[in-house]
Formats: sequence, C-alpha cells, structure tokens
Amino acid sequence: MSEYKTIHGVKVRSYTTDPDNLITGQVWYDKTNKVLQFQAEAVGAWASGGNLNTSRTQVQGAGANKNAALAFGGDTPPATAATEKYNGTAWTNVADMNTAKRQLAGAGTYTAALAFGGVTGSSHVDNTETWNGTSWTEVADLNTARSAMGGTGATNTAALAYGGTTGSLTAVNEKWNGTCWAEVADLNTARQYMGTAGTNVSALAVGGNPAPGSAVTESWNDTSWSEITDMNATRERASGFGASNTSALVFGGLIPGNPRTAITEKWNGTAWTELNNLTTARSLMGSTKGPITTGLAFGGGTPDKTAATEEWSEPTLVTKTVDVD
Amino acid sequence: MAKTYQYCVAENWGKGFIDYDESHRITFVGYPGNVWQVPAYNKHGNLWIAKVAGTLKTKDEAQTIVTAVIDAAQDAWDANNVDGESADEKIARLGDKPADITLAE
Repeated sequence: MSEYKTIHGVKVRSYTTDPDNLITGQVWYDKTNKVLQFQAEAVGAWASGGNLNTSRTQVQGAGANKNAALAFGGDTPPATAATEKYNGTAWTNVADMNTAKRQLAGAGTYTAALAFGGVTGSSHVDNTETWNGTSWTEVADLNTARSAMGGTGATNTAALAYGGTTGSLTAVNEKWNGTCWAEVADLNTARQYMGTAGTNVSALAVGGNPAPGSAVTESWNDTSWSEITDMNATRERASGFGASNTSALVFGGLIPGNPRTAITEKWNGTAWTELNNLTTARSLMGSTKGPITTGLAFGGGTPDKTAATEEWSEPTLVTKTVDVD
Repeated sequence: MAKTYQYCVAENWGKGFIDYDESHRITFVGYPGNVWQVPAYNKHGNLWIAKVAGTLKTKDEAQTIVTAVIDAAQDAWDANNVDGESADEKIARLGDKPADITLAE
C-alpha cells in the first residue's frame, strides 16, 4: 500500500491548532481533536437563516451580504408595505414603505435601498421610494409604470429597472441617478419575472416569462443589452444576486409545467455551472444585491407563502475533517 | 428495493435549522407541510433528524401531507377569481396554479 510520504514527498504533520497559511489539498493531523483534516476547495451551500416576521411572496430585497439585508413589500396577501432588516441572525421590523406593493423591484443596501414599480390592487405603479436606513421617502416616479421587472443597483442613487409588464410584456429599461429615471437601451427580449444580478452599469437579465419560461440571458454593459449563453435550467420567477454581468448566482423559480425548483446556477462570465440547490424549492423570493460569495434568499412561494430564509456562503477554502465512520 | 431517501416532518425554526456543515454533507429537500427529505441509511441525515426532533414518516405518509397542502393551494387558486378577469390576467395576478408534487422512493 502506498504511503502518503511516497506520494507527496512529505509526512502528514501534526498540529495542536490549525496550521497557518493553509493551501488547497494540505493534509494535517489535529492532535487536539485526534482527527485527520484537509483543506479543500469550497463549494457554496445554502443554510437556514432567521425566518421573516411576515411570510410573503413577491417580496423584494436589498443588501450587500448575508449579514446585512433589507426585505420590503410583497404579497401576504394583500400587498404589504412591511419592511424588515436582517443582521445575520434575525429579522427585525422597521418602518413600512409609504405604499404597499407586490411584484416590485429593489436595489441598494440595507442602509441605502430603492424600491420601485410593482402592483397595488390590480394597478401597475410607477412609484419609487428610497430608504435611508431609517425610513422610506417617495421620490421621482419611473417613466413607465410596471411590475415584475428586473432591478439592480448597489445603492439608492444608482439603479436599473428593466423589462416587466405594463399589462403587456415590455423591454423598457430605465436608469436611476439618485434624482430621476431616464430611459436607456431596451432589452432585446420583452419579458417579466427574470433572475437578476449586477449594478446599474453591469447587469444580467436571466430567464423569465413569457410562458413557459426561458433560459435566455442578456448582459448589460451600460450602453446596450447583448444576448449571451443561456443558463442550463429554463425557468421564470427565479431570484439572483451578483456583483456584475460576469459574476452571478441565480436560484429557484418555476420550471415549465410549473414545479417550483431549488436549482442554483453560477455564472462566471463565460458559462453557467449548477451548484448546491436551495434546501426548499420556491419562486418569487427576495434576495440581497451583493457579490456571489455571500447572500440571502427569503420568502417566496412553495407554493404557500413562506417566511423561510436561506443564507448562501461560498468561502474560497474550507477545512474538512476526514470521516472514518 | 432499498430506499434512497427518508422523510420526516420538522418545523423550520430559522437560523441553525440546517447549518453549512450539514448542507455540505448531505442534500436536503424541503417540501410543503414541513416535510423534509434526506438520504436514507446516512449517519449525517440521521443526526440531523435527531437534532431537529423530526418525526419520521414513510414515503407514503409524507406524500399524503404534501398532497394535502398542494390540494388546498390548488383549491384556493381555483376559488380566487375577480369578475371580468381573463385566464391570463388571473395568472398574472396569482401566478400559475400550483403543480402536484411527487416524492421519490
């Protein structure tokens, strides 16, 4: 039988605490816990987070990571203005939006967020509200009232609103500069209920409706939309987050035939790769707006409205204990 | 035929219900009705069911719970109508009618 030293040229070293400057593939014996450990490349995974105080679907979100997020609006039913703040452990109720709405879009962080569009009653709205960490203030309206659109943006002074429905599917795209919305280049394909990721200058529109769902992906470069590689799973009503049009995570949604899905896919600017699924399949959930290494999925329909939150974490490296049972 | 999955009922209390280590080790599938599917004959699945005080169910028992929730959601969808609303408008308002879910052995 081959020995570790024969293969790797060194013996497995023993430590009482984890060694410094670990590298991928490094193996060591943990003398304290009497287990063999190794450093593996991490694969992202979902874990349970604190439940929302208000179960809802069609909810929107903001936030840069899984420890600092905002949830607002949605359908309980009826449409709600409820806003909640997440600290990595629990959601806390904070000041409501001025207008209750569902199927809205969102952007920004938990201290500087933007909520725009949506549905009140049965009407599509152009309403925009900005969050300053304490309260919501109504600001300049969208040029085109609509719901179920894509929304991206890292702050409440820079956002993008694309696609959705005005009663008919639309490809309209508007950009927010902190003061007003200005119409910019349309999506190539009019659609609603897309997965989204990115900012106001670098964004993705993924899948969506018209029925029975789509896998089409478009990339925004601050000037125009270009169609790029389709994601693997055709779906609509998915959610997503990611820092740009070259780094995104899209998860959940409805696949044709209407089963809710838990599928999670990662976009690296070149290709889509399937990763660990959500633990619960659902659609129309809220999400954070930060990078793919850390984020949240919350609320949505399973089909019943849910309060469940899942936290995504993708560390670069992870220490594994060799399981010999 | 040996079963691939085992089922339990457990209420998701939030943070810590499924942690990262558990999520890395085994695949969890949550269904309506607080039904959870984890691998059968698996130490980590058994440990998690014990941690969450899950009530074990046969696949048929779990299927009955899930189907009851979906049936109720389908009935609620069928009953939720607005005068003069077209089928497309109803779908736009409510989303599609919830689909049946079939659990695996």
